[in-house]
This record gives sequence, structure tokens and C-alpha cells, in this order.
Amino acid sequence: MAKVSPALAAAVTIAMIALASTRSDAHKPVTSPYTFAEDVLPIVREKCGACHRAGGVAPMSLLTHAGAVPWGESIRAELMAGHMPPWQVDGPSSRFRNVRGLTARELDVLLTWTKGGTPPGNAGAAAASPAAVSPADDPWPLGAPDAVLSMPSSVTLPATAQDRVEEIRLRTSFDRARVLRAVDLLPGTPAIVRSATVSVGATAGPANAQDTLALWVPGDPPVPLAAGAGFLLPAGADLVVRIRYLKTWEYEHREMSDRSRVGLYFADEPAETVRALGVRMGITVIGEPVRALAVYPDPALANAQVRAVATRPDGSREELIAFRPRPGWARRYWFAEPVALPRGTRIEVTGMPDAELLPPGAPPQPPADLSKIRLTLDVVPGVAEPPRGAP
Amino acid sequence: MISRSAAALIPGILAPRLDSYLEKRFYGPLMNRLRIRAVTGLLIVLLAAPAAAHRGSAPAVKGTDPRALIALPIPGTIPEILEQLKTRDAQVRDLIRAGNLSAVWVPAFQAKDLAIALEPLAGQLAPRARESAEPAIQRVVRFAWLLDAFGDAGDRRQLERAYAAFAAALAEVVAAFAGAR
Repeated sequence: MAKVSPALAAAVTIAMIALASTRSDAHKPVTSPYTFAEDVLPIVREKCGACHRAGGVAPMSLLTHAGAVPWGESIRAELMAGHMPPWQVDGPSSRFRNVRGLTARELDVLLTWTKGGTPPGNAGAAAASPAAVSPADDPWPLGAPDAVLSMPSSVTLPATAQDRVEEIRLRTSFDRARVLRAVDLLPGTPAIVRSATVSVGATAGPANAQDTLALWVPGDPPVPLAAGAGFLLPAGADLVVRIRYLKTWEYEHREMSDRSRVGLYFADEPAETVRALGVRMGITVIGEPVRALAVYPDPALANAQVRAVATRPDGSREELIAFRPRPGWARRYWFAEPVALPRGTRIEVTGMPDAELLPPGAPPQPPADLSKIRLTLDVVPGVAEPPRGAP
Repeated sequence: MISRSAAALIPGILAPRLDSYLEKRFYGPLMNRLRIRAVTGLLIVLLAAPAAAHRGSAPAVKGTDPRALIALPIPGTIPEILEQLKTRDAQVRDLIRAGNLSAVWVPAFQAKDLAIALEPLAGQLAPRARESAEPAIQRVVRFAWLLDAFGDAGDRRQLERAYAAFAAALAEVVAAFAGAR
């Protein structure tokens, strides 16, 4: 063709303009009415910031728009799967003292923002909002401990190590038995301390799993026992600290060291000693009246749906917990109020593989080992029932 | 500058006229018909592409603010909200039965917004009803988003599973608020 017709040229020009006018945002149009600065940041700062901050144990900070945006799809998948925030209680969170999930609205804001183009909003609003409390500003959430035990030396993960569990024994120098109202862990290098348990150990030999003083996971503030109760620390006993170290992608192939500390908070004495009451799948009958203060799973239990229900001799039933333990997130669930379990109470524990729906593209979960369905109740003596026929 | 809406109209309105004009003005009626069709076809593709990108495919309205498109006035009373929830539940179920998977998200998101409107009102409930309502509302939101995701993916099996959980959560919400005003 020797000449291009004017009409054709005009039409092609129109087409090019139309393309140019829309191409810039055609890939991911902003549809979210929520912005990072105004809507998302206040939520993630309160609910996610303990881990998802610069230098935190999570693999990304969510406290800046630039940090959060690349992870938008991952955030959405984790939220839709119910994996984050990692408090896996299925029932009402108000039943527990230390479960801080998202409200329905907060969940919707985050999902809408991640799907809707992750708009930044007004940077000034983010800058003007109150700063998050940094763990460095508040190293011990319960205040200064009564005693602090440091690891005798640093643990070093060589550049080639990615994931490692270390067991460290800490000598106590108390000349008499002490009763503890709380035990906390302060990581030396928070970016690699993924979880920890603190147990009472004999002066030699392995720690007794029944004497677990603390199940520490990042972002889970320590909960002190109410006055009048405490964990017994025998005179001369060691503390056994099992720490799982895990490097995120930011620290791969780097040598990292940690020297964590354990803080002990003494209870006012006299105090009732908390003891561990193990319950397995099936039915356990309570032999003596107790009050349950907390419940926690076997740390190896994951990807299962577990439910524990107490049926008292008077026929009243109470769900103790319904939850879906996730790998690496074993923790204590502290009841908002002690749960009275009179003598003869039947505790039924049921469990099955977690069949929760995962969003499209989410990796399948490994099968649950149902033999690990063991719960431990922290109990103190309950009030004995009056004998039948008593006035 | 052509707006998105104008660009979207061009293929439907301008292309046939342009076709006819080119045929009359520049080419013979038979020999060049194929060439004309090729040229106008190219134009249609060029002009339609950005508009389609904004409309999305099956969920055809997702290119613009979904809240603007499915804006749902939240009723002023709890009983009215509960009635709306039941209606949206039925709509989701009917869309799945009809195989219209990509449209499920519209009533599902409307139900989600209605449930969220109930969340601050849960404090008025008796403790046991509140204990049931709060996690149920949260599940309505999560499963509404999963319905959207499985609808987009065209995964009917997972969509039906998500709907079962969604409907159960809605029923819990309705039951918890049943006596509330």
C-alpha cells in the first residue's frame, strides 16, 4: 500500500491513546478503599508488629509500605488460611487471657488492601501515628524480673546452619525452693530465636516435661499467675532452656550468635503450687477437685483439630479449648477465669487431621501425627465438694 | 485522552461504523472485505484490551472499586440485617447450583459486610451468644474471601466446601443475634 488512509491513521491513533491511558494501572488496579497508612498500619502494628518488624523473627517487616507490599499475596494466603495471626483458637478469644486475633473488620481490611492494589495512603498519616513500642524499649513486659539468668555463653549458628535446637542448662543459686509467678525469655538476637521452652530440670539429667515453666513464642506476652499460685522451683534445681533457632532468608549464609536471658518473677508466699495434669485423646476422669488455669499442647502436635470438653458430675459441660495447633507455635492458653473441675469431671479430648480449607495455591499441610494429641492442664487444688447430705 | 468507559464503548459502537465507512469509501465491496475485517478486527482487539483488563474476566466488575459496585446499604436494625444475611446466603447457594461460580463473590461479600456491621453489636448479646457470634462473624469474613478465591479459580469442589463452612457460620451468626433488636 502506497498511502495510509486518514481514517485508518486516526483509528490507530485512537487505539494507541486508549492503550496508553490505561496501561499503567491495568496490571493491578487500585480497588481498595483502605490504605496502608490510614487503615493497615494501625492493625499490623498492634497485632503483627512484635514479629513483623525490622530485626524481628519474621521474614519481613510489615511496618512500612515498602516492606509489606511485596508480601501482599503471601499475607492474603496466610490470612485466608487462618494461619496468621498464629493464635489458632477456633472458639471465642475472649475465653483466654492471651489470645489476640484479628477482629472480623480488621481481617477484612487487610484482605481488601492486599487484593485491592495495596495503596500506600498518606505517608504523613503513618508518620504522625504513635510509634510502635519496640521490644528494645520494653525488654521485659512484666517489668524488671526478680532474678535474671543468662546463658553461660553465646550460641553460634555457623553460616551453614539454618535451623537448630539447642538445650542449655542454667544454674540457679537459690538457697531454698522458690515459687514463681512468671518466667519470661529475652532473646539476645530476636531475629533468630524462633521458640523456647523453659523447664525445671534436676541437678543432672533431662528436664521433666511435666515441669514446663514457660512456652515462649515471639509476640506472646508473658502472663503472670494470679496471686496465691505459682510454679515450684526446687532448691538447687537447674533450669533447662530449649531454644529453637531459625534463620530467615535475610540471615541465610551468615554466622549468627545469640545469648538469651531468662527472667524469673517470684510469687508472694505462701502460694499454691501449680501442677501439670496430662490428658490424652479419649476420656480422663479427674480424681481430685482442681481449678484449671491454662492448657497447652504437646509441642510436636501440629496440623490437627483438637477439642477438649469438660463434663462435670452435675451434667454441666464446658468447652475448654478448640484449636488447630500449628508447627512451631506451641504455647500456653491461659483461661480468662480459672475453670473449676470437680472430682469426677470427665474431660474428653477429640482430634482429627486439620481439614481446614486452604486458599488456591497454598502448599498442602503435612499430615498430623494424632498420637501427639496430648494436652496439659496447669491446675491448682480446687474446693472440695461438701459430702452428700451435709447442711 | 480517552476515558476508560469511552474506550470500552468504542469496539461496540465505532467498529461497525468504521467498517462500513472503509468499505464504501476506500475498497471494493467484495475483494477487499477480508482486508477490512482484518483492520477493524485489529482495532477491536487494541481498543478492547485495556477495557477488558479493567473489567476483569468473569468477575466483570472487579476493575473498579468493588465496594462502589456492590455497595449495600446496611439496614438499621438487627432483624433486618439478619434477613439480608439469609437472602445473601440463598443467593450464594443458588449461584453455585447454577454453576455461576465467578459471580458468587457478590452476595458473599455483601454478606460479609452485613456480618461486619453486626460485630460491634455483639457486646449487647448475652455472654454465651457473644462467645458464639464473634468467631462466627470472623469465619463469615474469611470464608467469603475463600468463596471469592475459589470462584475466581473456577474450583467448584472447593467452592462447595467453602460454602458449607460459610453457610454454617452465617447460621451461627443468625442464631446468636436471633433475639436481639
